[in-house]
This record gives sequence, C-alpha cells and structure tokens, in this order.
Amino acid sequence: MNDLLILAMVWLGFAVLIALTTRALLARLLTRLDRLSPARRSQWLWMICGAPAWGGLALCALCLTPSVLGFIWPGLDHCADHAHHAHLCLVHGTAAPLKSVWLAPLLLALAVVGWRLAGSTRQLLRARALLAALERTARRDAQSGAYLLDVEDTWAFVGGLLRQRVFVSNSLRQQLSPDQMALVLAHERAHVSRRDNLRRLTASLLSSFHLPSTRLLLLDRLELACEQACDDLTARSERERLQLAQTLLRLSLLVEDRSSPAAYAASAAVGHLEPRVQALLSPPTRPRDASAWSVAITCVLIALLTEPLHHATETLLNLLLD
Amino acid sequence: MHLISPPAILGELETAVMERFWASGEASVKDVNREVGESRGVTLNTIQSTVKRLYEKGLLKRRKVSHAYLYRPRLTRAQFQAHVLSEVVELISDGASDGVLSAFVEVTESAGPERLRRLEALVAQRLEGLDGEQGEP
Repeated sequence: MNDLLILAMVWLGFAVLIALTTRALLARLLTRLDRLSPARRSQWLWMICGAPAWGGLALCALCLTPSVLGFIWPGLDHCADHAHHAHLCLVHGTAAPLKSVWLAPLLLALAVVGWRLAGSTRQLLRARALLAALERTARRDAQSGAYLLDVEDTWAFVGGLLRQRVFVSNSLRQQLSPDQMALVLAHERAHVSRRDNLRRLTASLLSSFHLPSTRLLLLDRLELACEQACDDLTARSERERLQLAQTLLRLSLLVEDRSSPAAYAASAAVGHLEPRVQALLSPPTRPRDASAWSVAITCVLIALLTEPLHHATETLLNLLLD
Repeated sequence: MHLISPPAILGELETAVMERFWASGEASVKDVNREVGESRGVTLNTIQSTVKRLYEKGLLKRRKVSHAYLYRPRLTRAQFQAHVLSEVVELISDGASDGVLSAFVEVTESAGPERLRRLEALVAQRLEGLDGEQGEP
C-alpha cells in the first residue's frame, strides 16, 4: 500500500510538471499545430489534453524500467548500491515510509480525481438514458439512417459513444435544400467514423490535470480541429467545400435567438464558424507524416533518459521522504 | 402549461404507452391495454400502473367520465423531445464538454449577422465564379 501511494505521488508529480510545461509552451505548441491538417491536429491536441495523465504514467513506467531490467537480468540490479535512500523498484519496494505530511494532500488529490471520474460517469449514464429516450420517440429515416426529431429548432448532432446515432430535426430538413442536407448528414457521419464523441469525452476527462485556462483553450482547439477534420472528409472538391461553407453560414443565420437551450446547442454545431468557413475557402492542408527519423530519435532519447530520470526521481523522492 | 419539469427519461413500456397517446389521443386504461398491453403480453394491472406513473410524472392529464378516467398527453412528441434535448444541453454545459461552451461564446461574440452575411456573399461570389469557369468553352 505504501509503495502504491508513493507511485501515485510520483505520477501526480509528473502530471503537474507536464501540465506546467504545457502551459509554458502552449502558445508555441498551438502555432505549430496550426500548420498541420485538422485530422492530424485533432490527434495531437487529444494527446496534449491527456499528456499530464498518460505522460505521468509513462514517466512512472520509465522510472520503473531499471528495476524491471534488474529483475530480468539480475546483474543489472543496482538497488544494493544505494540502499541508503528510497528506491523506485518493483522488486525490493520503495524502502521508505510515506510521511503523514504528504499523505493528506496525496489522498486529497486522489479523492478529487476519483470524485471527478465518478461525476463524469454519472453524467455519462444520464446522457445515455436521455439519448435512449430520444431514440425511442424519434422516427428513423430509412434512406439516411438518421433519427428524425419533431422539434421546432434546428438540430443535427451525433449521440452516443460506442453506438453512435445521427439525430436531425425535421425543421432543419425543411429549411435546407436536399444538397445542403446531404452535406450536413455527411458531416455528422464523419463525426461517427472518427468517433469524435469518444475523443472529446476522453479529452475532457484527461485534461482535468491541466490548469483551467489551458484546459479550456485545448478543448476549444480540439473542437475546432474535429469540426474542420469532418469538413475535410465531407467536402473534397472546391465546389463541395464552397457549398459546405454556404450551408454552415445558412445554419448559423437560422439560429437567431441564441438564448434558448436548443439555440445554444445549434450554435455549438456551427461553432468556430469563421475559421471553418475561411478554411473551406482555401484548399485542404496536406497531412505531413512523422518521419522514421523523428520516431527513431524519440526512441533513442527515451532510452538515454531512463537511467537519469530514474535516479533523479529517486533523489527527489528521498528528499521528500527523508 | 402548469408542468414544471417532467422527467425526460422513459422506460420502454412508458414510451410505448406515450406513443399510443401521441398517435391516437385520449384513451382509458382499458383502451391502452387493448392496443399496447395485449400485443406485448402485459397485464391490465401493469398498464394501469404505467399510465398512473406517467400521470404522476406529469406527462399525462386526465378527466373522469362516469367511473373511469380518460387520459391524454400533456406534451406533444415535439415538446417532449425538446425537453429531452434541453436536458442533454444542460448536461453538456454542466462541464461534460467545455469545448461546446467556448464554441457558443465565440459564435455570439465574433460572428454577428452582418459579418455572416458578408461571408455568405463572399462564398456565393466564389461559387458563381466556379460556375462561370465551367461554363466557358
């Protein structure tokens, strides 16, 4: 138990470090990401959203690597060389009790993480039940497979995480031309194929470790990247891109009263309107793949960093626990 | 409508009963049982308690005709769906997705109707240009 708590402390420590580094580099990061295609940008933004959480775990795992190597090849075991301070070792344990002064904030931090996860699970279950209620009362359009809602407001959205469904209001169908409606449906289906709901939910949960202002900015950029990626999938030719831009503008003009809940969501659907329209007026960005060199350099860096990171963390841990 | 906040989540049988009311209007419990219960192998008692529950939830209203109650929907299907959607939006704006909130702020703050119309004109002009290019020999 003591070892697990110490590992949790190391994980949270790394998470905070990554969150602060992200905050410091955010402006530069976002400028560089803007050069990528929306699809690639959304992948990077999702990873940055979760970087403190999964990066913290990855660094923890990296710190434990020497002990795993020592377990496989006993000749590499070096715990006996520095028995005088705390270890990060899966075989011999940490050999240092966690001080009560660290216990309270650590348990509090873990409780906050647990509480947020429980809250999100509750919200998720409620959203699932609401969507099921909506699906049961909606009519299914045999041609498009979309669920048609009788509501007066203009709606087009994807509901669900694993079993995703497209919902469209009849009033929207009446106000758009068949071509424009086909573009809206294709855009929503692009969200389905990209699993954007899952992407957004996990990003929202994992980004909890970031500073609030960083988190909001990252989620906002992720939202824009997802929308633009779907725009790119929906409209490939210049004509289709212009038609989609026209449809987006038409949709946003339909939402005149932005104070009602329905208008709130509809405006979200056409959110980031200007950057999306501007992007549609230009040719799509060509994706740049990561070169084999950059992957190889990253692997070498990780291998080189393992030992120093392991010892630096142990030293810091020793200072905290001593 | 004196209804404050009806529940947005309905079970399968509750939805089937509401569908019956939305499709055919006022009915007694016996009518509902004949049209919904019998085909599903559900007893009259179950239908009776389902209808009563929907009434207590505020989704049905009733009037007494001799010894029996006649029920009819308090909300149309569209109103019910709008209510469910508003709950979904409330859930989203409660922190499940802050990205949605930011999108809303951006649209209202930066893209006024005039700006939208200017953009629309620009897109229309580009489309016309494209049509012209294709029309040329």
